[in-house]
Amino acid sequence: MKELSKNILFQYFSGTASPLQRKLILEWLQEEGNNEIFYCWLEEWEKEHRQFEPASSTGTAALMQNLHSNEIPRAAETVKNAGRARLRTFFKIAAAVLVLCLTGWLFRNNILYTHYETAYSDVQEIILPDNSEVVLNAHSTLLVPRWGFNNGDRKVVLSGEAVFKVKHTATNQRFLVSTDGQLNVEVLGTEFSVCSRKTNNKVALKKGSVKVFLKQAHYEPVIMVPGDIFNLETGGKVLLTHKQTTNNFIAWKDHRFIFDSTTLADAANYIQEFFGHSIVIADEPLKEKRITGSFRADSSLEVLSILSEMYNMNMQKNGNNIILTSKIKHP
Amino acid sequence: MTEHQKPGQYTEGQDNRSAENLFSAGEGIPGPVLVPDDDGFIKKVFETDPARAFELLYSKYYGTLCNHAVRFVFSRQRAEDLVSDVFVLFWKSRLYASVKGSYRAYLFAAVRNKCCTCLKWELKRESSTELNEKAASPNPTPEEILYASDLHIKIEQTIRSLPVRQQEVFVLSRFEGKKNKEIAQLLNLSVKTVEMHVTKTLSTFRKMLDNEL
Repeated sequence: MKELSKNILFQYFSGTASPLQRKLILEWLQEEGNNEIFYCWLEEWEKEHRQFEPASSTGTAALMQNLHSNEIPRAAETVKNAGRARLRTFFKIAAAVLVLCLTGWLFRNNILYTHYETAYSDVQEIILPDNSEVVLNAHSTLLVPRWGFNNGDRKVVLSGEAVFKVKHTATNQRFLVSTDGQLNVEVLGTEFSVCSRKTNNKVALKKGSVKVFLKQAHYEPVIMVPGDIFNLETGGKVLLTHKQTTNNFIAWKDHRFIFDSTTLADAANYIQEFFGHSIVIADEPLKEKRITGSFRADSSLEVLSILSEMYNMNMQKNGNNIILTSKIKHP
Repeated sequence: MTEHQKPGQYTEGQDNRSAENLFSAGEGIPGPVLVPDDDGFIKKVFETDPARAFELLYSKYYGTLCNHAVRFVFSRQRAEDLVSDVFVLFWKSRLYASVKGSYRAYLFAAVRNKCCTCLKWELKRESSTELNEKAASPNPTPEEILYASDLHIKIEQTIRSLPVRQQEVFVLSRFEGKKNKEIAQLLNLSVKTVEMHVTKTLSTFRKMLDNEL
């Protein structure tokens, strides 16, 4: 057999291939050159299923030391070149130091901050140095200062979505959540959730008080009180709604999905962000359909099959994509 | 059936190939399988500036290899040390000059080989000769390739089959490298309970590995 689909190999790596498929892979590997393809796809699969960021700083430093403590393999140098060798060594060390500084600078976030990262479908609880609690939603990253908060402002960096339960400190230290999106949130001691994703920028406040800063210049910081939801729409419009039930926004902690007159397009975006499958809604009118419901699900397929049943849709899986079409044919 | 060039071929003798044209099937026409020939670029740099080429190689593959290794040894620290060792050996033995095929293939094979050896050693507690450094040019057979994959798949299945509490403790202990005391605090358990979970998990693993290795 000449060809093997990448999908089969990906399934195998994920542990979901059948014994027959494994046999196919084995046969396929007998052919010369296919092992290269194997490792190529293995690398790709690993990149898609990354579990952690190695501490590049120490890794590079130690390795560079090791590297330059040996002679750069070259033709044997005679005694005459001893002087030049010493100069070369100096440059080697200077280069190493430069690389270290550059790497240190490039990876400064890795060094200064502890990375917390969740994969798709993964929800993680984190306790911060000041005993504040954070629940990190799927496919999100939180940067926390590696050596604890000092006496100044407490700063963390969020990409994705999280629920914060911030402890009030005796010295009234501010707690700042900075996102690489559009929002910066300042709090004194409260419970709130921040969602900063491509399709969704939102802060929901349960207890206490927060101030939301928009990175766009012409917006004043907005002060929120419990029950407020701050929503930055993709068009740049800002919406502040009051007296909402905030439980909907943290339901994902329990793998529970709550939609309240949400358009299917928004729901699909949300499910996509959480699970990582790409969802395509093939029929235009279907995108605007509003759905309401609350259910517990552990996979995107579960959520979507329930929705499909409720709203008369066909669900087709195509590799990593899921395509939704309406069962009802429009005239 | 259209003929496709075997992957892993390098651009020797075709020096005027532009950097964009990195696909070995040429012209970038989507063929049945295209394996990016990007290690070929690094191979060229090794000829003129080995130190820089090495840094390129390292920054390119270190992260991915660590993520792969952690599926076997399950400790982030161990994985990083292991992959670093592979890189150091690669450098010291000047394997960049003698490796056939892509560096990617070599590095992955070497890391996987080391992981399996590591696990075997852990299990049997022998100071076997396999642990000594040798400039092994791992050229695993198809069976050996799948053997390594089967192993990490089995490991992950075992983890998933653990009771939830044991899983949590295990991940915090081995993956995150947290001390038992910290875990006890985080999960609101007694230290004794944490220790018990760890012991139980390790014995489950031992049994599983005994069958596999």
